[in-house]
Order: sequence, then C-alpha cells, then structure tokens
Amino acid sequence: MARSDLATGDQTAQAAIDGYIGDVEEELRGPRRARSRVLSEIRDGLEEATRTRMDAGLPAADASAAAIEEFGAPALTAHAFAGELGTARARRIVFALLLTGPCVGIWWLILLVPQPWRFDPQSLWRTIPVLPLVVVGVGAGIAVVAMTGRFTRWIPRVGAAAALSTAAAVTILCALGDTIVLSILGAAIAAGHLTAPVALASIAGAASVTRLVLARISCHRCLRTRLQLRHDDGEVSPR
Amino acid sequence: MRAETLKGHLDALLLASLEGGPLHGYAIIDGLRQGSGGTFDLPTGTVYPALHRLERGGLIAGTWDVSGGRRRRTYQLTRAGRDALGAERATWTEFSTAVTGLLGGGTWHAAT
Repeated sequence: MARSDLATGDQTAQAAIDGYIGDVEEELRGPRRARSRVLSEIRDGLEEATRTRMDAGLPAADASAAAIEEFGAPALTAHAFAGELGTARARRIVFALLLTGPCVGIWWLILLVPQPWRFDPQSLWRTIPVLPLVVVGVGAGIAVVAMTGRFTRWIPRVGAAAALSTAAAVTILCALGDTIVLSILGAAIAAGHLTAPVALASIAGAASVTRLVLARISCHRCLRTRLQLRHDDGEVSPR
Repeated sequence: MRAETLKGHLDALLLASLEGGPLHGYAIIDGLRQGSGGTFDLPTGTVYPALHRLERGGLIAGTWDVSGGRRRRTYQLTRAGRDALGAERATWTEFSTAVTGLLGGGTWHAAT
C-alpha cells in the first residue's frame, strides 16, 4: 500500500514537526555531529509516526499532533539523550587527547631526553618529571574509551557522569604536564642553559601552549556537560 | 508498562526486534508495541538512546541511508549482538522457568 506523503499534506503538520525539532535542538548539549544525528533520527521517527497515523485516516495536522504527543515534551526527549551525548563528548575529548598526545610528546622527548641516549629509567624519570602524569593520564583515557565502548561486553560499563569526570581529570593532567614542561623550558632559557636548537624548543613550546588552550576548553565542556546531567545514563524518561 | 519496569530487559528486547532483519528506530518502537500486543509502548526517549548505547557496545550496527529524500538510520544485529541475544535468551528461559515455578500457583515448601 502506498504511504501517505507528508510533503503534500497540511503545511501545519510539517511546521509542527519543525517546531518540535527546533525545541529539542535548543535543549540538546553535546558534540555537534552527535546532536545532528540525534535530531535526524527524531525527525525521521516523528515523520514516520505521522505517516502511520495519516495512513490510518487522520488528517495531516492531527496526525503530526498525535505523533508529537507520542514523542513527549521536547525537554524530556532532549534529557533522555543527555547520557548518550555526555558519553559521546567524553569519548571524543579523550580520543583527541590520546591521538594528539604523541604529536606533542615527541618534541619534548627529543628536547629533554638525556644525551647521549641510553636506557636509564632513573635519569629519564629525573629529566622528564611529567612521565608519571603521562602514565596516569593515558591509563585513565584508555579506561574511559574501554569502559564506554565495545569492551563493555567483557568489562564493567561506566555511565556518562563518570566518563565526563574522568575525561575532565585527563584534561587537567594534560594541562599540568604541559605547564611543567613549559616551566622547565622557561627556566632553562632564563638561566641561559638551553642547549637544544631554538627551532625545536619553539615547536615543543607552541605544541604545548596550543594543547593547554584546547585542554582548558575541553575541561570546561566536560564539567559543564557533567553538571547538566541529571541522571547517569539518561535512558529512561517518564512519559 | 513503564520503561523502568523493563530496564533490565530492554537490551534483549531491542536485540530480538532486530533478529528478523534491519529496522529503523520508529519501526523498532512500533514492532515492540505490536509484538507485545500493546503492553510495551516504550517512549522514544527510552528506545533511541538505548539503540545508540547498543551500537556503541558493538552489538548493533547503524547505517544512514536516504529513503524518499529523507535521511534515515537503519540498525542491524552484529555477530556479537546475535551472540548476546542468545545469551540473554538462555538467561531469560532459566529465570522465567524458576519464577513461574514459584509464582505459578502450585504449592512449594521450604526445607525446615
């Protein structure tokens, strides 16, 4: 049987759906792509629900009104996605830090590693004092990715609130690490002890300053999203 | 039935609804409603986030396609999802048999 065509239906039906989507959009918080995906799915679901009612004989305007009623208040619909969007934000930030970490770290490694190079954990630990922060930060980041993704088939799953809090902690560790290595570089320059090429020191410094700014923005987003979560998962909403 | 009542079984129901083939979100909601004779009339705010979570866990896979000029996300079971569904079924069978044995109206006695 041919489905009812919403496009040729009452204009008020489409306007009502557009209005509902706009209201949900205002309430959604999270990464832009994830929000766009959520809105596309809600729109598709609303249009499908409207068509189903039109097929059953309801006028387009009544069909869309009933579909909107079925979906619930825009604020509740948006709230139901808060957990998923919060988790998406935490994962995205941690992924970005884990992937860009080596791009920043490699310059500091070249700059600070004792010369001539020999494997000596004690002297490495002494000359690069941020290594413990790196180990903790990378470990926490991997934990967030693992405990919110495919590994949850085998390991415990964490909710959005925990994922966001841990992601915020990782950004703070990142910022702390960058501040420490920048301080070491600044002290070496001030004391006239900089033996490495200026270009190398400039690249390492610029990379860390850039990441400091991005870490601050990311931390703020994590904490703001965390505050907006009213429940850990946001999976259940009253009807 | 309220969504809270189903919380422990929602994943299994969603996986089962996709066993017959790929479906989009509203078709899953409608399928659960029709398949349960109207008992499981779940709000979209419960079903869509749960689908996203199952996808994140690798139990279902979502793909965008364009149908009638509209973007539509369709979900299907992955191999891991089929395995998880089998495990959920086994657990449910064991659980429901035990509960039916106790609540089914027969007499049973605790050891003294």
